Amino acid sequence: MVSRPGTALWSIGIVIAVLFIALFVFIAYDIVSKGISPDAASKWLITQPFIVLGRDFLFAVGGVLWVIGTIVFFLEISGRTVLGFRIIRQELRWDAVDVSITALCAALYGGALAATGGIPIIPGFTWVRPGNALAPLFGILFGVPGALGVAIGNFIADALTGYLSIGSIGGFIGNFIIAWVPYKLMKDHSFRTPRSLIEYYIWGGIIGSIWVSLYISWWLDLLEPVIGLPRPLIWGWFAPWVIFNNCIVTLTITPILGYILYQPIKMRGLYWKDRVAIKG
Amino acid sequence: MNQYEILLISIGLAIIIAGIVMAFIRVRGWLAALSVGGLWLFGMALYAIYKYSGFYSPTGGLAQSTIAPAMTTILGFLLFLVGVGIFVYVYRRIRR
Repeated sequence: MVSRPGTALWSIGIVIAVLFIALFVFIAYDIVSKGISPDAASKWLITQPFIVLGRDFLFAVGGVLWVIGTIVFFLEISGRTVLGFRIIRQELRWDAVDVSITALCAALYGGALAATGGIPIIPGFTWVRPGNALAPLFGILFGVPGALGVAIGNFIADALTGYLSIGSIGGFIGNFIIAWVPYKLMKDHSFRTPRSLIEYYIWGGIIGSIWVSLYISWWLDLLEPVIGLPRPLIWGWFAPWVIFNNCIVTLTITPILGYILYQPIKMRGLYWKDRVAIKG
Repeated sequence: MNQYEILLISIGLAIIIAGIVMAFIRVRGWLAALSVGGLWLFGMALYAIYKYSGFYSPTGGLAQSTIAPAMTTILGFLLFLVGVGIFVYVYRRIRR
């Protein structure tokens, strides 16, 4: 017999979803009402935690997340993964289907990002990116091939929009992380249960966005003499904007796309769990 | 070409060479490595075309006074359609 989640659990899931969406709609209103310029950024609600925590603290935390994220990236592409607290072998087929999945994710994500590339927020560093909604989705549905496609898509979009620089190496792995976090840390990828929704909002929506923001910001801070974005702008403008830019679409559009696409992808055997073999 | 552009091109070439070596020694993932390296260099080729066409603004991003923003939007949509095309192809061809 299949147990169905109760009404109470659904109510909790929906309340959490609505609260997250309401928070970021309010943050959007706050940003629009105060302006998008560097001067106005210090007054944004989303910037306040960055001001309170300070650059040194954020640089330390960002450094830890950068090291973990980079290790995770190389582990996953070398055919290993973290399960519990163990590193185990995960046999990806890397056949024509997996490679096609990587290519299609790169084309869809890169194309979606480039389509709005003419609307800069921080010239040379970031722009309005509704295409971000696809990044966690591709990780959740396609696993490592999808996450790798997201990383390449971001790199191609950087080239098409005038943002390609040495900083794009951070963007490459950072975007892999946006897809990897919900792929690896959500237990239920179906978008059809309260648990799946709650897990998605926490891991795919909030944690993934904060991680990628701190990952790329740390990289930009480290290479500040080369890249040229001043540190106060990295932590007081770029980092909060990246969190907002990700969250506003990943909290609203992605769950709808996930709900629509999960079932057909799974039925065709393209869902990542049906295509990998775990070896202890 | 500056040293950072050379570094980025070198990364793409290194991934392709790794893919070729993996194919020779029959390591799984060689096709993925070749694809990633190829797409990386495709990104660098787009960068070169845009740069030498004067589409980049000196302050970063696209030069708003040129056709670059419109062209990027069109290319973005085309790339997206290519992705949809690959998805439909894979979705129809795959057998469980």
